[in-house]
Amino acid sequence: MRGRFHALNGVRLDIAEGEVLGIVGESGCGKSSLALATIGLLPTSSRIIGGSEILFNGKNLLSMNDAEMERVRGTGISMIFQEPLTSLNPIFTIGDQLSEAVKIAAIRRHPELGASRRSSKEEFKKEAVSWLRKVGFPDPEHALERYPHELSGGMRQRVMISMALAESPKLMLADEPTSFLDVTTQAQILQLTSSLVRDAGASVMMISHDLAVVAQISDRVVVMYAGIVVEDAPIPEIYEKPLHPYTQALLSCLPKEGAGRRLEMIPGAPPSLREATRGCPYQPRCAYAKEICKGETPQLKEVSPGHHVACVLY
Amino acid sequence: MCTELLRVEELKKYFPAKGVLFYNERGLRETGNIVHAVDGVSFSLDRNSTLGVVGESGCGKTTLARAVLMLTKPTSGSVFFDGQQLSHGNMKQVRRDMQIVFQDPFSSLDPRMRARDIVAEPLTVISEQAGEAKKRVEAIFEQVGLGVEHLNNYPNELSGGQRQRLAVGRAIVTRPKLVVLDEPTSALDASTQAQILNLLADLQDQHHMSYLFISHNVNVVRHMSNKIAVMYMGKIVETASAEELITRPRHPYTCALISSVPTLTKQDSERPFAIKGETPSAINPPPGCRYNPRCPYATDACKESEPKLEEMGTGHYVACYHPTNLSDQKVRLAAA
Repeated sequence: MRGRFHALNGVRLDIAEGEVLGIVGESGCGKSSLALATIGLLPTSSRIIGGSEILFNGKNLLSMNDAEMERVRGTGISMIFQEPLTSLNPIFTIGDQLSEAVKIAAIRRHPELGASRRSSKEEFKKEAVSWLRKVGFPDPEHALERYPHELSGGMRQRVMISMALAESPKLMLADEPTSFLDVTTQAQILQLTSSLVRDAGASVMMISHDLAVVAQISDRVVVMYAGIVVEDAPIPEIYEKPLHPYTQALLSCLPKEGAGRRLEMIPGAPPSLREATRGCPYQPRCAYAKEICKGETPQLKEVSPGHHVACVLY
Repeated sequence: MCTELLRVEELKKYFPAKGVLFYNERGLRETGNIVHAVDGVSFSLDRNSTLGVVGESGCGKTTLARAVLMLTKPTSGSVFFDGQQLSHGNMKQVRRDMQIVFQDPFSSLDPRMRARDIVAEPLTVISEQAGEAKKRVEAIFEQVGLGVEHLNNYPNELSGGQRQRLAVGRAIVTRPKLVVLDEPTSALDASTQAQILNLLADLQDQHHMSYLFISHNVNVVRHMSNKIAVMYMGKIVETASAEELITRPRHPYTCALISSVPTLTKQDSERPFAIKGETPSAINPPPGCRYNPRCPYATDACKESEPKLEEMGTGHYVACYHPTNLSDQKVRLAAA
């Protein structure tokens, strides 16, 4: 396809140390692009517009070269993806892959270890076993010898979580980590992730299309639409008192108890983003749209402590 | 006219497991490696009503749908549709009355056919007059909310929601009495899902069709169904009216399933019914109750013999020796 796709159009957000930030939005809203930009894995065909900044511990990730970024990945920022089968290497065992993560973390902590590799191989394996036990493998020694295809989806995602946390990152990006899983497995994985990141003291950017999934582990939620942040508020306030018309509509179109035969709907479809949108991107579908909404893109405003919304109504 | 449209009795569908290269003429059972995808399922579905089938991946719900429609030949058991027993031989006459909508509107539509031809194709099978068919197709486009401007589009020119509208149009163009909906909104965003669910509800009100609504999503099934059946490893473990099943689940698996559904409020880290372990392989299902290895209430009886579906309260059937009771267990309700 030709032409540019305006995936992110001025996203502004922050994550505090130890905070779990949920990012929700429908497909195409830019939530995955945001995560990929943060860890420096956007496709080479993409372009980050001048003036953009992603500050990690005060350093701008976007101005780092490849070697600097490589050092940030893993020990600084790690990421887990939606489908663990495509992010695990099919021709290496779980043990090989997890030990490698453990080894990289160890070498970065103690560079002198790189020299005496043979003596530490057993230690890496031991640490890999302890990680697998932490993420709930009943028989970790046995699991080390398995290949990814021999594990269930839930078990593969447990491996991914252990690899992401083994390098003790400051920030973990989780892009729809449970969307491929069954609901009972999802409940297990969410509970596990929540307790492990709290133990590790890591911050998390938890991305999902599912508002309820995000509610389970987040402290604060950011709602994205067409490449911008439309609302940013703590839990449970954002679900109890949503302010942006899009957040309100998104919540009310979910099937739930007492919803009646017909659900609320959002008319129309999101903008294509093939061209830069003018004005509020939600305006064509918004029940409260006024003439002014077509003019300029509303900026995020703090309307009550910690509750930000980008809408002219406030 | 009786109210029952579809009755399924002891339906079974077994598949040879992967890795089995051949099996002898004495049949599948002899090889010892068979997947019990659907293993003795019985239910009935009334006219103008919806039965929801909910369960996790691999529980056999899609195979059940395919076997009911004779898209795959059942290993044993019978399906009665409109008073007539279905068999592979007599399907041509009843096909127009039973249709299906698949989960993925990207792979279930022929990319080289125009939207109008996709909807018209079922009519050519039932030999409709060409002029009549054209009018009917245009009327269907209006009904499913696609607009006639999309008649000549190819599927790749449509969004996911529009494609699913097209798939629904293809299913209802023959005026079927039964439509099987196999995860019809699982590939869609929340706002599009609401549009499609409303469309399905409207079409049912207009045409008095019955739906067999299959989904892994408890909230969606609850919203759409009059009755719900919960499947686990090829069996129905519990069935009741939608509200009864969600608010007063009795089978421990149903309780675990419902309490695993995330809500918009943060839940206690210790859930009353947090499920342990993983679904065992359907190749060698455990003896006795299939849920017993994961069930907190399992006793020796559960390991020895398989509980049958028994009525516990009006229209509420449970296959369990130790059904839980809401009065002494906190079962958190699905949906916020």
